Amino acid sequence: MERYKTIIEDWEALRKECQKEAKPAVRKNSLKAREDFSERIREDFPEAEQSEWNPDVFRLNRDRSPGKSMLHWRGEYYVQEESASLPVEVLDPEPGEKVLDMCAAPGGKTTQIASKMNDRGLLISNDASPKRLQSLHANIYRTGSSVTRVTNYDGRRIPKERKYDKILVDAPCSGEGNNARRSFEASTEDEWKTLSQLQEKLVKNAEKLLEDGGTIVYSTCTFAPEENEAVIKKVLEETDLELEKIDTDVKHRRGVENFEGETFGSEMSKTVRIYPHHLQSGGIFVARLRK
Amino acid sequence: MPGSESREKLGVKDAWNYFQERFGIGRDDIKHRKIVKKSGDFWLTSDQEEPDLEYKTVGIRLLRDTGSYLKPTTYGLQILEDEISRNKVEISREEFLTLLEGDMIERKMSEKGYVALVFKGRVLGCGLYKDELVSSRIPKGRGEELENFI
Repeated sequence: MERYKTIIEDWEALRKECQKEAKPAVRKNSLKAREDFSERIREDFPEAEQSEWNPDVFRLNRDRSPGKSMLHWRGEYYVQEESASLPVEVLDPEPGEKVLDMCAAPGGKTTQIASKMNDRGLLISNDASPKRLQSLHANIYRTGSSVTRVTNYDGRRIPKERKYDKILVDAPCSGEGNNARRSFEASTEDEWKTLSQLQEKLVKNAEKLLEDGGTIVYSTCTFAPEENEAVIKKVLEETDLELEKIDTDVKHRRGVENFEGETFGSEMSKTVRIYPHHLQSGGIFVARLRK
Repeated sequence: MPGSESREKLGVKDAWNYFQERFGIGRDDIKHRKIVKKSGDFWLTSDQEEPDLEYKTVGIRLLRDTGSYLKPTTYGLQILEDEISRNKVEISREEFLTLLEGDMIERKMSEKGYVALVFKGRVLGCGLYKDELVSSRIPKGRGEELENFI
């Protein structure tokens, strides 16, 4: 991770945070949660603390598994890192819209989209991995996302039969922001070279699937600029998409404009990076593009 | 099975009729969604015209067609909980544990058939009422998960 010292100004805070597990958090699912949800979750988890920037998110203590409660069993909440709820907040899906979640498994963001759409409209939840569809289905059923239809295409080749109002490209990535996956180890050049090609193709196909005036949100859970700002720069150069500034109350840093001799441009300040020490959560990069 | 009929071919209309008769849920109660038949079962899905794609699933399975009767799913009853006006069975924690262990609890209801099991104001899943006894029809694996933290 030393290679990121030049772009992560509060490096020591990041290093310390990455020695700990992320703080557990859950996201309320409006499709299933009853009116007394806030009281009931505090009965099960007295320490539950509502997030300031996203009131659907409740932070819990590290000493009890959030997956073991009746509310979870019933799908009234989804266990999701606090930072991971940002891409769908930025996408801002609305009831009645046609939305595509291109890389949907295991379903955290898909079920968040369905919740925000109030189960009205159409949500296509796609994932390329047949194996991961099992967890995607289980989470869709548990959370009651009935407007969700599941497909199993390679995201680069989803048929362009119909266009969508909004598309989420939560791309496969090297996962440096996920401490459980990487143990504070940076990705290798081979990893980010392969992944960035895939990421770029996913966004380019998303552009073809998007209605004029529609929105794409691109996100990863990695720090590598090669998988983040560099992908966005290429997409901006080679498509008609425009980058939109993300305004958010969550603690964050802006996207980087230069890294290791590569210049991504001042436009990258429109994108958002959340590091693990910002929310005691995973790291994430988010960009919003308009057609 | 009571509350449903034995037929050779069931259509979407039969599914709507089943929910109306058994649980008091009318077509107008379910807005912006429709019931479709897929793989022999009935699914709740978006009412929007869908792209011509190859789908693995299309929403949430509401009703299984066993070939001789209709059986509501636990997930389906949970989704429709606000609309269910008939055949709900309120149960205590002890009764629920009894059901999850595979035993039955006593009740007196007017008509045999499937019921919605309700605990602390929340629909937990599907049960069956017959001969003044209620049993659980929550899938075994799902029920075992719940047993640990109810």
